[in-house]
Amino acid sequence: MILKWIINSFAALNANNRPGEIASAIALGITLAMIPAGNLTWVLLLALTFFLKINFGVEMIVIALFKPMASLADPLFDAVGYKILTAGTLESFYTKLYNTPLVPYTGFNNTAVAGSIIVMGVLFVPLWIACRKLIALYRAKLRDRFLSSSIVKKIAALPIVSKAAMLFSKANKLRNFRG
Amino acid sequence: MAAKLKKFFKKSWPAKKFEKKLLGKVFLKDDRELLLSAYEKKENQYILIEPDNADTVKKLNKLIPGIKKNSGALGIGKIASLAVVVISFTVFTVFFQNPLAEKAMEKGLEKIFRAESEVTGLRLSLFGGFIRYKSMQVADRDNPDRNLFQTGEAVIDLDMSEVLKGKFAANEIKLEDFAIGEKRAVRAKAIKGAVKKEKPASGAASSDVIKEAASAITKLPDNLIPDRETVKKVIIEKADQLSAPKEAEKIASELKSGAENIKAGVEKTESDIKNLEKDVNEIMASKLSSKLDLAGARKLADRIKSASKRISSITNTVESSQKEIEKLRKTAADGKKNIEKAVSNDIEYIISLFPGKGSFSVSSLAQPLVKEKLDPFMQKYGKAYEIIIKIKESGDKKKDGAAPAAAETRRGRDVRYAVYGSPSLHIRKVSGSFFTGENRHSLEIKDITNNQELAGKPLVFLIKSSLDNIKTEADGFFDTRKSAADFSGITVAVTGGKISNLSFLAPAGIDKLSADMDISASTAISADKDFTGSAGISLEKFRMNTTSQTGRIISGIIEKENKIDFEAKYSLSKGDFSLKIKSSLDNLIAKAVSPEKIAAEVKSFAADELAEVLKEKAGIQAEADAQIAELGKKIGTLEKSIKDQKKELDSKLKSLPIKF
Repeated sequence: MILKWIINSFAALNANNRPGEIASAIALGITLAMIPAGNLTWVLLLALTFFLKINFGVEMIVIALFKPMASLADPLFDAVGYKILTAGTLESFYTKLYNTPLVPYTGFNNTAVAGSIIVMGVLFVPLWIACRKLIALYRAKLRDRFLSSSIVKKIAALPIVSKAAMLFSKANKLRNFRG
Repeated sequence: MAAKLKKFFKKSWPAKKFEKKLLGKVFLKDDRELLLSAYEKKENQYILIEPDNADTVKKLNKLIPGIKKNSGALGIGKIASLAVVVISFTVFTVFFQNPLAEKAMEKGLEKIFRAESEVTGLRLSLFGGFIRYKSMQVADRDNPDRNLFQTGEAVIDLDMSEVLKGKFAANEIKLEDFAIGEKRAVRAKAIKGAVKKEKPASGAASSDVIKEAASAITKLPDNLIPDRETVKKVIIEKADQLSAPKEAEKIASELKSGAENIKAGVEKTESDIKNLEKDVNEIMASKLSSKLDLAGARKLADRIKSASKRISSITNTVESSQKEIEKLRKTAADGKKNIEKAVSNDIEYIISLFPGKGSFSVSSLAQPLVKEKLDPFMQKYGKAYEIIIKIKESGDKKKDGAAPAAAETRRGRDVRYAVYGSPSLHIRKVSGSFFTGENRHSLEIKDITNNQELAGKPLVFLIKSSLDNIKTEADGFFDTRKSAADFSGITVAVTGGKISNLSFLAPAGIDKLSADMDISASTAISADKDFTGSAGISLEKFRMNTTSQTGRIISGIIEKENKIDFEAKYSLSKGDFSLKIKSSLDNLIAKAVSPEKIAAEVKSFAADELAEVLKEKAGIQAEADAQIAELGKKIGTLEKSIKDQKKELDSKLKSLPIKF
């Protein structure tokens, strides 16, 4: 499965995929990695990605890559979340939410969840734009050189990679490589 | 065959549309250049230049899936798939869910019980948290003509708005008309694989336990107050100690012998008077030959003198008899007085043999029950009530508003907010009914919760039952709101309860017992899970038929009273159960068994019984009295007769020619 995601991501980055699709996958992947799992917010956000035209493989890889780093950001999330959740003026609103069916399962009252949602909410758009730009830049400047590099050619020629690519019906994307 | 460009690439595109729909969906530099090379821009149009190179055509055709795929941000296919799933599910729910669920339930029951099972009118709402069926019957595989069990309507209606908050809340849980072993309308079909199993021997019937307990509590002491028979028995046993019968016998004997003596004297006097009368008649008939017949006169005079002497003698005898009779009358009068005094003394003596209790406690009646039944029961099962404590403690823990378990995370901190008045366990209504034979019992409980303080309501219950002929109609409540944290003030009340026809009390000598009852109780449970409490029981319209004397006394007392109040104090400490009962009945019975009351009862019985014993002696006495009266009368007649004769003799004597 992980191999499939890697191949998928590699193909998406280098094929004629919409940069926004990959940028969304990266931004959402980072967001999902930052938000603590095991609550309804995380599950709903993940479920939402199934209905968006984003690259699932990229998203999963990004989640796997960024999840270990999430705890590094926890002090920030905790501070932001605590500030928001204990804001006096909003307390009655939170109390109402807390007493609303299903909402308690979102874990909104957890400082890490609330903080990460706020921080990632703010960072999402800049992150998405930056990713999009970087992908466009990569495709314009680096893609050809990268794909024509001997390392990539050797890796692509590995039987396991080609076999996996065949199995996952993604080989056609690899065949688009030039050079 | 040479490759042909697909129709996707129209011959001309408006410039804006081309840039948006085609060029805008191609993101690789080489692909964009390839696409632009296939079109020529003229004014506001992109005109297709048919490529003659097969390789270019092939490359262009390969661009099509990518262009199509890059259109739109939403996965229409996935959304459509979801829509199909939702619509299918809705169709399934509306048209197939209930019949399929009904079948599945029947199959499940048949698999469990290996017997034909029927479920009717099943309605299921997964999102509404609702399931209901109209009836269910499971046949007895050992007896296809009967059901193993059957039920009427059953409902489970969950409150999903609370369930989705991570709480267990139900609007209603209902199971009606549950019955075991009822006859089936149609013989059940055999189910494959049904194997007969030996039924395990059942334990002692619950009614036996009730009978034993009732028997223990109702061993009424039978010596609280003596009855007539007891008093009679004592009088017979203690006859030697009684003076009245002896005195009566003595008096009767004296009167009898006195009367007989007088009677003998009177009879002699009568005979003397008869002889005298003969002489007097002869004297009165004798006549002198002449006035000068002095010798004859003298002789007659002598006869008269002799007769007069005899009259004097008889008169003395009569006077003596009269004195005897007077004496006898005095003896009779004194005797009566002595007997009365003796009777009085005897009654006092008998009363002294039956000292009154002067006090009574219903608690003493309950002690056998406590010792024989409640203590072993509480030691064995007493800790069962801790289940209620555990449920309640779980409610208390969540009172401050903890987040549901599913929302717990290891990262960050959980900020807690107040929970709006709803406990984590709340069943608003549980109702049900079941049959034992012909008797239907029903139970309705409202507001079962682990935190009554949050729910803002006490538990309310209504019971209608006629188990073992105890007809009970009771409504009451169980209130822990004031002691949400520590169980220090649990209150329970039952009002309008009715008990009647306690046939199982027959071994205790109670044929029938009925009363309306109100019960209120408050209990405090300590940290060690021991409890202490008190209960008030008020009984009205009390009726009791009993064969025991004490039972009759109690029955006589309570049936006159409008209301009997009992106050019970109970406690459980280290498995030992204690029960003490105070009652308004105590005072009433204490009065009934007081020395004064006992004395009055015994006096009445003893007087009657002594009168019976003295009856024979009194007969003799009365006979003697009558004899004395008759003799007195006779003596009076004799006295008159003598006086008449004396008068006649005196006149005869005066008529004689000679003077004496």
